[in-house]
Amino acid sequence: MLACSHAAGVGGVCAGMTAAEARARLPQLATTLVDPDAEARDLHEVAAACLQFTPRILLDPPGALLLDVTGCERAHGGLDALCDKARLLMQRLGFEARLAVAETATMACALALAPQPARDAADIPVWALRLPPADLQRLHALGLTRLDQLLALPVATLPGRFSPVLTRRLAQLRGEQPEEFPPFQPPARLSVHLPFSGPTDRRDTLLFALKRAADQLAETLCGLAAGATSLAVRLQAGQGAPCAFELEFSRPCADSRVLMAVLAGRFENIDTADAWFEGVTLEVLRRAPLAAQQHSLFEDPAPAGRPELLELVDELRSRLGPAGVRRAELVADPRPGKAWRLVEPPEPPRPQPVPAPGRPLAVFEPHRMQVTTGPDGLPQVWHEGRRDIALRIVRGPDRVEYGWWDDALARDYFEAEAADGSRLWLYRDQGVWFMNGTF
Amino acid sequence: MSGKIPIHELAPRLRADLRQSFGLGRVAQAAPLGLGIDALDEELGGGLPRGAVTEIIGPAGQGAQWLAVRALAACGAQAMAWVDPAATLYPPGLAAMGVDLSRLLLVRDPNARHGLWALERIARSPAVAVAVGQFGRLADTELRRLQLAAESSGQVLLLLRERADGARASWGALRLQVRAEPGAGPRRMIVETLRARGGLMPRPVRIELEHGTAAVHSSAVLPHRADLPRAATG
Repeated sequence: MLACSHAAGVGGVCAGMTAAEARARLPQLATTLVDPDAEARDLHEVAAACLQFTPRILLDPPGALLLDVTGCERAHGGLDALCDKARLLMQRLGFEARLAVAETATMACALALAPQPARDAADIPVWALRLPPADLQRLHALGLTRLDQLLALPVATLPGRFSPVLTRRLAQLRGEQPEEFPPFQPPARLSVHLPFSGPTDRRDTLLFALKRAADQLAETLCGLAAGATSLAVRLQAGQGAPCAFELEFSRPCADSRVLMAVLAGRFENIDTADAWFEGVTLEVLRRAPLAAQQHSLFEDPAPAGRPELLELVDELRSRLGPAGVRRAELVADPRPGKAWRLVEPPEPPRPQPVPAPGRPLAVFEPHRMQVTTGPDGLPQVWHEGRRDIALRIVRGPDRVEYGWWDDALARDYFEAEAADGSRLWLYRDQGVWFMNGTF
Repeated sequence: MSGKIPIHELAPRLRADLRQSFGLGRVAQAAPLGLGIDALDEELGGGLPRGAVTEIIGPAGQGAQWLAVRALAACGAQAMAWVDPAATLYPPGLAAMGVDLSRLLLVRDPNARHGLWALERIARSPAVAVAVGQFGRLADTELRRLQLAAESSGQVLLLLRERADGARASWGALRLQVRAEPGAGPRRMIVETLRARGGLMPRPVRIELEHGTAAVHSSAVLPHRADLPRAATG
């Protein structure tokens, strides 16, 4: 047993026991295996999120992060504001954290690790100095458990008795020796995994978990000043089919609100009936630097509509599929059916051919017409069911003859006015009349 | 209510005063979208209201769609959207009327439920200046949601329908009916206001297009239907 909750402690369990021993005392005890890899990964991700405060970050496994915020507080509105932000960040990432600020990193770390809020050196245990186990054993054997006792020892005698780490830590604690901050490498793969305590099939629970994961991911992305352009979402199934899908963003996205809107839109279309899920994972497949203007204080209100538009397109596309939201483009082709095509909305516009005149606003499947034609061969009456509708040709013929090599076409198009004033788009193909659209 | 001049002059001023004192200015805060059809713009108090739903009702081919496309062409270089569940819109016809296709989002989802969701989402976006939705029938609550969404974004939201669902009260700010006026010569249509929120009822307007194109030739204000002689109303 490495650690236990307060309730378990009351039940007679304490750290250092074997699992069997602990269970014997408290049969209902719930235990979780320590996963050092996962802990290391988590620490790395928290560190990445902290990049929004400072680039100088030191990881001290298993659970400590040292940030050099010298001079950084001004960018965040003072030291207190910076601490508040850091506290909020940890909360959002789902970690319980203790914060301490001090003149030296070792001092801050010792204060943060101390079990109670420390007033002086007597409240700080020696292990809070991050010492090697051999030194801790020796200190323990000597009965030195508190920092004030250690500080009382003559400095000159220390190097002979303890490892060089201890003397260095003491020097760093006093600020006599600088703290090394090796350059921090943000994780190459960004992902957030949230396991559930028990399987669930409730969609609102899943959405809540996805939202939390998106919040965490957004924090980390902010830290890296990057945005996701492609995101994988995976729901681990304990029973039934697992569920995985990918989201694409037209522009780097580090806003959890936007991430979630797109994600929820897509999730709505996914059938999760009969499946129980045990956890969710969000992973950034591709990321790109955030545009600097996003954090600019002087956002120009007019072009700012553009990101909003891209967000809109992303959200529509996530729910309707890529074919659901498009933009039209004209094509230089005399065949009316091929005079335009659909393209992806973010694609930049190309120069357009001049649109042909006399084209309708709505086109539907050609509908064969029973007509009575006059001496000029043009329709005068349209027999629509039991009704006879008088027609008057107001434009045409527009002869379209094209493409004997593919999809041959020879048609005469007309605009006609019906008795009620409706404007119809007709064509004649080998003597047969069709209605094809309206103006 | 046959034309008492003082009321005509007084009403807009009174309305402006009321808005100022009671904060009713959410409606039509921004300048309306002028359609470039003189008589109609004037009757509508400048054009189609922003931040509101305008229903345009009329059978296919009689001019309702023409009017909606006219609104798109009038909004210039701003983003537009058309939710077209039946996928019948013919973009070359829009381009010929001056619509910038590169700024028009087309939503062509055959699923009406998604189409409605899409229109509401679009209506909430301040990035889109004019949006058009074509739906056969809308429930009152749906219309209400669209109206609220348009209010929040200041968008001109047009709903195109072939038939009005009776004379029911509507949440939309404005309900126009467009019908063609048959007869020899160029294409003519009459835009009649069936409902206008708060205020004087705009009079019907006759629009005449230039022969052979979709451009406006002229427009004229007609007397209210009640003022017309019986024969003219058919």
